Amino acid sequence: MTPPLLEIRGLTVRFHTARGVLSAVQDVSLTIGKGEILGLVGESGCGKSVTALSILRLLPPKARIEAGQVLLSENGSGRDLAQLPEHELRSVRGARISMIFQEPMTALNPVMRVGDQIGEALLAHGLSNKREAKAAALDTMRQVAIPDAERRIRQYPHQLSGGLRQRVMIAMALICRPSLMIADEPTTALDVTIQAQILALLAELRERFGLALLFISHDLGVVSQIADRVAVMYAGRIVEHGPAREIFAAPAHPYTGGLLRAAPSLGSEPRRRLATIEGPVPSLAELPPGCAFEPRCELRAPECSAAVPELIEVGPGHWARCPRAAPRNR
Amino acid sequence: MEPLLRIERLTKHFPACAGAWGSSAAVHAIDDVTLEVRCGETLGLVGESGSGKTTLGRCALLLVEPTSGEVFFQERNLLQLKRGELRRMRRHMQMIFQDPFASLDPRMRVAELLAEPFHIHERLSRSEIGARCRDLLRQVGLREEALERYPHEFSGGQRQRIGIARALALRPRFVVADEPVSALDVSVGAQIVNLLQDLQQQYNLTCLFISHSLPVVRHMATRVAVMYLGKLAEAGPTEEVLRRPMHPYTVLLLASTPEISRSGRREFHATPGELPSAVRPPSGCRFRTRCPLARPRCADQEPPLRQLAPGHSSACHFAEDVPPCLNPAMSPM
Repeated sequence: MTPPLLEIRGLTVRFHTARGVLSAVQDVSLTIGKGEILGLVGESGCGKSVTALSILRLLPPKARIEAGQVLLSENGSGRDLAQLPEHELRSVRGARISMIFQEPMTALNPVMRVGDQIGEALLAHGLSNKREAKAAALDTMRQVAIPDAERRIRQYPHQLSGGLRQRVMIAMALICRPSLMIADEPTTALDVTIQAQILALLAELRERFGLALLFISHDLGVVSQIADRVAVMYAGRIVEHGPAREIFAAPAHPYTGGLLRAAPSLGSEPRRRLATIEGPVPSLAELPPGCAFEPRCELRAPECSAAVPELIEVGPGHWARCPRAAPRNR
Repeated sequence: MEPLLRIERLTKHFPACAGAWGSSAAVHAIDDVTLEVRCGETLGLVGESGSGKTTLGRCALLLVEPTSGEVFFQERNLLQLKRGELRRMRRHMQMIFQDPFASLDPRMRVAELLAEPFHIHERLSRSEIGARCRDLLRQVGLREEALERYPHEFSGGQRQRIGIARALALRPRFVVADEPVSALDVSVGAQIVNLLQDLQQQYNLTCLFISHSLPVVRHMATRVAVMYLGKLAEAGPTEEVLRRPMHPYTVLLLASTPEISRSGRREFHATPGELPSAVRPPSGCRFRTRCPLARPRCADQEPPLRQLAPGHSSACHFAEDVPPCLNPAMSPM
């Protein structure tokens, strides 16, 4: 069997702060196949962005990868990005794995024409000369459906709307034809009508280029529309992962079920009380010894506070970190 | 039901610097909007960023001075009140803000934050104020220990609860809630939505609930008004507007709202186009540049808001031709 495009094994990331050591990501294992869209969901502080930044080792100085492997397998050869020397990792960043962010205005250089920013990656990786880079930038702008690309290529970020800026970001991330794009909340800052355009574009690019996507979002509706598989994080750990359809139709972990019921929907009964998950999201500094969700869980039992539960398989390829998760399809 | 708040032909233009030589222009934030909020109801105000919904909410409380138009509260024209009268009126009309990080003074303890409205509007003894503050905290689901702490010691959800307690301290009749759950996580947002619904019943509050999210508005509001680029596009009873929209923009919003798909079926309704500039809005109907139904008449003539069903009006020349909504989660009425 060929290995998946990207496999994260046992990733643990800790932040060494003045107030102590915080485990932002604990023992996270994930796989992304070629051309697959993996949705990574969870609430703020759950570790989804830190997981994504760890893949390309873009973590802030206080954070350290304490354990784990990040295996990238392409054309029959595999590399552990967590161990790769910095200069070799540079040839991966933006070329084999690229990244787009929530707020394009802060990620784009305000004093550089967008065409130059899009073509920059090709020059940085020594893949083409200036003339070729410009032609490739124009072509990529058309691939991401930027209207009037010949004029836009000479414009600056502030002259573009939010939706167009996000398309420029996607063009920058696409120009080296990477095999994986990491998208961290790429539509959160956009209005719903523009969000729909960007989601359609990402789905189309996957089809056209066989691009794999790690799609990070707090919005379950968005993830259910775009992801093939979904992983749910809570307080630094993966609590459930599996095929998107399974996760949304039959969530196995009480946290996933709670999130799904708490989201207001156009299809639900109007003006009924929303189901809630009581209590606050726990602080990483004060995690309970057992299951981190135990204090808020409706199904909690005495054994839940003793030790962190293991992931158990509840259906084909569907895993949940809860002893109470009902096994299905077995 | 009689209106508690009535906004008539309200217009707000902000000065904008256009062109290299600083020639003056105006951002048309709100143009000629007439709207009423009835006693005891929650009116949902939806639209995308730049639609003018926040400016409208602020004009309703006269936190922003309108360029023209009238605002009536309890049948009194707020724009004609004297300063002192307006100030006394303000205790009946309060605001809940989106970002509880920005709206609470970081140097004030919760006890001071909650006592401030009483110091301004009521003459109460220290012990009476203390008792009222403790009472408020309990009602928004916080413990008494919170009184001695500062805003930064709380999570986003708890801070929003403090903001709500502050807004309700004087038992107002009318509250403008501007995206009160947008900055919160899903699980915390649901708690705040429920809390707002409970308090609203308890206080018999009338509410203008501003949000970009149709599902949240559907949950909170009995009636809904949809804004686009400073204009009212459609207004009516919530379920009717969402199940039988009569403006193409409402249809676009509904179709673009990502619903949780439990069947694995994917539906992207990506319609090209973006919000035009509010400095130079399109002639005629402002939505025509993105509208699938647009015809020449839409560029020449501005569509008036027309009533098409009891209490349900739309500002579209071709409202009768608007297709039913496309969101699979909604069944048409």
